[in-house]
Amino acid sequence: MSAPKRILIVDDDAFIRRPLEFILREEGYQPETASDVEAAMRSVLSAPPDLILLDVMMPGKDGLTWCRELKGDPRFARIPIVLLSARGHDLDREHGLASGAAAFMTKPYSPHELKCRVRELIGRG
Amino acid sequence: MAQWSLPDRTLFAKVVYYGPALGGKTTNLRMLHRLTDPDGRNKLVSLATADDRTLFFDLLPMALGNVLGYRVAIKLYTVPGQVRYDTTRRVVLAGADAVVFVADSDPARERDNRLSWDDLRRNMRANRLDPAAVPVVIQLNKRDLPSATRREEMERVLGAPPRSTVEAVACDGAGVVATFIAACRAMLQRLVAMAEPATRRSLDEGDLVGQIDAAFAPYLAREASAGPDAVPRPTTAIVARAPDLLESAVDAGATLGAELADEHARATRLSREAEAFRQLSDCLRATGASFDRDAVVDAALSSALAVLGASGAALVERDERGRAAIVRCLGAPLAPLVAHEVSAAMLARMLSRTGPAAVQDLPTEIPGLPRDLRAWRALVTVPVEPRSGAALVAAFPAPDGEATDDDLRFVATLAGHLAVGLEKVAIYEELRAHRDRLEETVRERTRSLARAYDELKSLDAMKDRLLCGVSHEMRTPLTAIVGAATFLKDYDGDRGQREEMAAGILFASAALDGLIGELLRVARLEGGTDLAVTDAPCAEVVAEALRLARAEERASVLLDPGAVSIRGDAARLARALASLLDNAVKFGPVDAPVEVRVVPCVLGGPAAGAGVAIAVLDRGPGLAEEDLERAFAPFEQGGDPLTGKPAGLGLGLYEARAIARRHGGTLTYRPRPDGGSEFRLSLPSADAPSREARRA
Repeated sequence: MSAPKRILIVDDDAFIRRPLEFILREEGYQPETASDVEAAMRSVLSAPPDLILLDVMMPGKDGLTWCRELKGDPRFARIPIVLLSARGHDLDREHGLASGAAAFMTKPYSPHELKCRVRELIGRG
Repeated sequence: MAQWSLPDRTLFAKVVYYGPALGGKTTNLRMLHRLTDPDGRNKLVSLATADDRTLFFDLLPMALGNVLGYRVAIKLYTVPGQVRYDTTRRVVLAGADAVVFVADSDPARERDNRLSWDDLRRNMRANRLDPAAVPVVIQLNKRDLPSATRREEMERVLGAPPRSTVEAVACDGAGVVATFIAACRAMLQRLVAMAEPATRRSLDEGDLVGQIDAAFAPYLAREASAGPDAVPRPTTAIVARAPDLLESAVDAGATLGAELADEHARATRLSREAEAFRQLSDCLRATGASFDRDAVVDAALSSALAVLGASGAALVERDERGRAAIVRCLGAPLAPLVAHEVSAAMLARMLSRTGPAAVQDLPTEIPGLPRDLRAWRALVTVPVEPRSGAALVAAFPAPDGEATDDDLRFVATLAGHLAVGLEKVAIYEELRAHRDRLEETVRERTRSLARAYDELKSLDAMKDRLLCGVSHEMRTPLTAIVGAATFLKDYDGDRGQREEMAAGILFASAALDGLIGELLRVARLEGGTDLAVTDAPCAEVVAEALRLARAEERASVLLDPGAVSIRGDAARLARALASLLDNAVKFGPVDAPVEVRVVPCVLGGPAAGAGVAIAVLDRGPGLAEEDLERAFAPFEQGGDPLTGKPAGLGLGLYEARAIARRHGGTLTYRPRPDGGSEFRLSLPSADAPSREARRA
């Protein structure tokens, strides 16, 4: 049995991070969390995750910009990113996908739907 | 006319024999000539035309001896009786001192007598011979005819008093001298009566009739033995063979003169009319070409001055008392006419007429005419617009100015033109005013539409920001709730995990509740709910704000003893201050304190007077210049929402400023010189009642 797949959860709101963390762990993944892009980048540099769940609007650098940066970096371009945004306009979705994200989900998302999307991208935990 | 020649004491007089053709006029003259001048010293001159007997132009100066101390020289004339010689008869009759009408006693000539008699009357009038001053003696000739009409009958037909006529048989000489004496007697009596005083003094008026009878006595004696006028005594005669020469000449001259006079009058009149028409057409053209009221009036007034003999013309209107007020005047100013009571009253009477009115002689109309009205003699008024009482007035100068019928007609026509012109101007002005009003209305509507559009646009933008902000702000706690609830429902977890999830749900729910509260407050703010105004102590307002913003631990408060209390709604003021504190805590660095300074200040604006300033100072990044306006708009937050996570709905500053303004105060921002922001609420002090408080 290989090591559990690592998922990095980036959101400035702990009340959003914690349920995701618990649920993904129950599903057999190994979740890690960061409350901003800076912390997330440190985590990626120390050990690149198998998937990133990324909030778009955060204080400091926003998720969309970081997503583009990662996709432009050959070291991390292959890591699938799921953008999570409270802004659900079509335009936001377009921007998100254009940045190279694998999926775009609008808050409030269903954790089960998110779970399915993660499974599609990296398989079971 | 008779002439008294005082130096040679001679009276020259003229007697004319008148009557129907073939009635015996010439016979009378011939017989008289024979009886009075048997030696033929004076020539009996006859001027014959183509028809013999038709025209005699006889002259018979007779020395009658001494009558009244004067020699009397009488010229005798007769005239042709034929109807067609009327002009000649009229000319010969001129200046007659006495007339002998020789009537024919033949009943067949009765009508001729009457016609000739009427003709005599007519020609006397034409010659201005007064029947009362020029005696007419009627001779009934041919009394020897067996069928002669009775004397009474003839007198009746000719309208002569009974027995006033003289009967004669001229061809026998009978009655000829008697007739002549009767005429001379009446004539001389009349001439004496009419003589000038100087002449009268030289007259011997004694027994006038006796003198006359004495003078004529020898002739009467001769008449009795005269015998018939058998031999036509062709006297020395000047015979003009050219037919109707004199008559034609007299006729032609008279006709020519009359025609010349007529022609001259006609030409003058035509040229006047032409000028009038030219002026009317000019006036029409001028009034047609102009929409300017003054120009139209001036055109009419100058036409009036050009055509009339008037020296001043004006358009007047009647005031409420019916008095004339000059609207416009050309030529000599007519103001004095309106100024003087007497002339103003007269003018008012003229203007009250519905048609033209004229006064021909001001000095007679107004006794004691004021000095400055003596320049005028005649006055004409013609109504122009009956409704407004507008009228044209033309004044004709003294001493001989005259308003003729032509003038009145012209002014009336002119008034008609002017009325049309003024009507046109009025319609034009009404249309223009209407158009102006319409344009102004359109402009006003356009402006308000533009305002409404801008308002809608800004409301629309606000709505977008609201939806965007609200959706984001609500989705975030919802996401937390859905996540936690899902975990609790589908996974067991340990007790610690379950408690954490439940706590998360509660916290997120509280956040949602806060959002809803905030939205409701804004709704109230927009709705303008009344303030609960009291004297709110500054310390209490600050303490409540710190509690609301949960900023007690981060804030340091400096309360000036001079700032005691605020006149206002304590709860609202605390909310406004809490928003500022919230921002300061949110955007300022964690380690830097948030300062609150409460000091007295001076308020401007509607609540001018003593005030309290509450300043909130932080060491945060401050507001960028370009974000200043947006920061205070509802649902706006400084910075791009995409690049920085917004916290809250962006209603804080908007609400705080709105509350400050409702109190008559202000909310201002300025960057701190050494970094950070200063938001400053200036509010009315309780010591200086605000306008609202004063009203209460």
